[in-house]
Amino acid sequence: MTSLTPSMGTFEQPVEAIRVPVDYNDAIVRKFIVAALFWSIAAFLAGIWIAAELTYPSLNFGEYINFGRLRPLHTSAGIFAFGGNALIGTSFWVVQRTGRAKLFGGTILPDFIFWGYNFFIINAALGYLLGATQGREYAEPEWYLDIWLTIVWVSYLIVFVGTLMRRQEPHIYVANWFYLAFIITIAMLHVANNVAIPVAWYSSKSYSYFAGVQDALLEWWYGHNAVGFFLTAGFLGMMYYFIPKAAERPIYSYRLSIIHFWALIFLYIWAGPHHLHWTALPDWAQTLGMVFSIMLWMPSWGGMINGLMTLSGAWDKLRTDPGLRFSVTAVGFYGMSTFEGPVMSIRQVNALSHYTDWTIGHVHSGVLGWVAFICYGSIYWLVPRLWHVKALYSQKLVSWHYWIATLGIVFYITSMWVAGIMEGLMWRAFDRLGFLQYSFIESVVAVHPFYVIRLLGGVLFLTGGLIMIFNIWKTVAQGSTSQTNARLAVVGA
Amino acid sequence: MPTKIEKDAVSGQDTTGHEWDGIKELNTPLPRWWLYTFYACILFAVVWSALYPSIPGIHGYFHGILHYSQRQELDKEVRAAAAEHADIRQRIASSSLDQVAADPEMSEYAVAGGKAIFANNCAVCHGAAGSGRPNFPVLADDKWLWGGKRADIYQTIQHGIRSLDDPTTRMSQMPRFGADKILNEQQIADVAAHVRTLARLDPPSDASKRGNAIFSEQCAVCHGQNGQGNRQFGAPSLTDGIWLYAGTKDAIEQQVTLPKQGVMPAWSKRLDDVEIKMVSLYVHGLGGGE
Amino acid sequence: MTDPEEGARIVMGLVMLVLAILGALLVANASDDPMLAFGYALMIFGVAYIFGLVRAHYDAIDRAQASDGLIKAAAPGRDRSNNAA
Repeated sequence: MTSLTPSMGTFEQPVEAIRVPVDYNDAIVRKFIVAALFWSIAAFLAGIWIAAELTYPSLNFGEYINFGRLRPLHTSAGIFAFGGNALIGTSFWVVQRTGRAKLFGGTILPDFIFWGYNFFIINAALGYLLGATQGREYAEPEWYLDIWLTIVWVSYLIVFVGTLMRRQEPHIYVANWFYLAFIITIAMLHVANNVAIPVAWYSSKSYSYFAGVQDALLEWWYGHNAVGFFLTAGFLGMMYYFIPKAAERPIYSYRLSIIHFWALIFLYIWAGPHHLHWTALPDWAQTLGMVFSIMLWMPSWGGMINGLMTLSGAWDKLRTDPGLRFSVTAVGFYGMSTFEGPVMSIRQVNALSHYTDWTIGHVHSGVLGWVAFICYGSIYWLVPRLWHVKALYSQKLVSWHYWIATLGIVFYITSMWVAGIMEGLMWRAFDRLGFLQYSFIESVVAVHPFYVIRLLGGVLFLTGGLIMIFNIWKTVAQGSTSQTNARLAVVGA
Repeated sequence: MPTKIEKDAVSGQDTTGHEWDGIKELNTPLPRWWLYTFYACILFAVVWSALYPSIPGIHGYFHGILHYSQRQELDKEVRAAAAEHADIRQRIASSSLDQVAADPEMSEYAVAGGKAIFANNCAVCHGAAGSGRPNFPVLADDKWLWGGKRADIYQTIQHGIRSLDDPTTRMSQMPRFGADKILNEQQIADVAAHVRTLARLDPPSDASKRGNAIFSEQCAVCHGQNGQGNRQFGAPSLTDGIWLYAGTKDAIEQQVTLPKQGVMPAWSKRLDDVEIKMVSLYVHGLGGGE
Repeated sequence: MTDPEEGARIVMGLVMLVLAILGALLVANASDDPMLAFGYALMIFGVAYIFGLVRAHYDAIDRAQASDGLIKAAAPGRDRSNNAA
């Protein structure tokens, strides 16, 4: 790797001309993006199926596809397969471009990360269907896959940091702080939460090293920070690159980005206990989980402000660029979920919302509205550049995708709000004489219509996803892979 | 890299002078409202932590100014609720079932409470409002296996049916006519044919006539000569078209060969006497109480 | 002339060989279905990965010869090198 930066004072040409295009590793980004799109459909299909199982319980036939086994398949496919591939792929694009450095590790290490990560996903899914699970939410894969993922993740850290270290820009761009925070923290959470003892070397089954409420707290320390660092920090990294690129506007506030970054990183890690309100967890831990969640509100909104205000002076682009519309709506949903979250973390509110479908709605306004939408915005922007074509096959289809998916989210979260609050109220209702007004099954019957609406929302979201796959397929197909064109496209980008 | 601070035309803000892949950053100060709301949240956190249990120590934790405790709060609520109910429960405890049923106030209370108890304990098997489920009897009709008087229902709930942890449980056992080789396959088929004629599902046939003889010998002692049933043994009527385990020929043959023996728990282990009284009255009032 | 990644490919190939053998061991000793499935998967993964490395090895040779003018440049669309570099 030879440095392309000339020493100061020796150049005779204008600076711009000397910026010889770096030989970026984009092949690896293409792989991750394709994988992300593939897994997104898998996640949506599994989600629709389990939503249907909840609505019509007779669909739970056979041991392999009952709700219990498919639910972790759905969450893992959504978070780790779709989200993870999108995050790793975009982080490789962003860290190369904002550092003007080729990806560290040649082709060998990044390729291993790609195949190793997706090998992890396939085996996790296979394990779920065969009944192997740790029973830890969002950390279901058993010990052997945890070890495998650790190896892959450390490789990812090496490649990312290696690339940062060979960067040619004096400063590290904010998107990379978020990506790096995501990588490091996920490594820490993953290792700590999966300390387990296998029952035998050749057995898939293991038991957690911890027990009782300590184990529960550890799991939700992990679980909440999977939200905080995987689904938030990582995707904020995505936002910090793709929104200013698509809007062609500077980031609204550098200072805000520093403050909200460090506040977010510091505060998020303490908020986990709010998942264990009204349980055996000691009162003091519940209080701390709650107050840290409240303090998280503004640091989260710092990201929203920086995303939205970057659009100032470029709002008109929303009319012409439906991809950017995805990103901006994503930031809106991010703001909404990060307000809803602190509200739900208040112990008194949680007394109503805990164990109800409100929580499911909250999660999906985050993962559909924020995570999936920011991915869509970024991928629509990336694909023409990755495959060296002038533009997407159809902007109109992007627009269709946008409206169908948005409608799907609205159906999903509003039905879950109603269902969740209704459940919460029914479970705590007493009659005039002081007896429980409803039995549990009555609340199940009562939410049925809303489960149907939720199912419909999911189908709409999948429809949007399929439109996207078609659009991207056609976009890539119209591309020329001729080297000259490719080079021109890179320089022009 | 040379850094060049520029002024952004739209916002009038300076950039920081850095650039990454064409992305610049403005040096906009923190929005005031954002900063003050953040401070307010921190202040809220501090105050809340002072009021409620928060900081852990080596031996225990800071209990907060309010000395709040979830465990105590629950305890208080449970005690308050119990105190509220104490009077009327006392009266129900010292009254007979019929007295409770006759007193409008007690009866209203008992049926309302019985409904809640039933929904959370009994409906799993007997269905919402006693509407029954496959293999579990309907409680809302006027056909009873072990009797439909208040006292009968009360005893059934208290001691259960074939509930092995209760010595006074209602006990009966249909013999395993096929599995224990009391009857052969042909005989079982015949007796099943006869049972179906008793219920007027099939017209009499040669098989049912043969089965009639076997029935008198083997079955009538519990189910009665005409299949009318006998509550003493919880032997169901075979004539009323109500089938606990289905009335097809196959199902009847199966039941004669290797009978299902349903079990109901003895609820005295889980509900107190007043609660059992309440749920008895509720079940009695479902439609078929005698 | 020599591809700089040749050494890395050999190391990676050895690692994959070890993993494939480990997979075979897991298959042989597995005490439950998920471990059996993982064993097979690991074995297939290791072997397939080595095939991929072999392919990359020959692609690199083709590229090197093309740039030396020994053979004609690969037709557009058949090039598997990174980012059309």
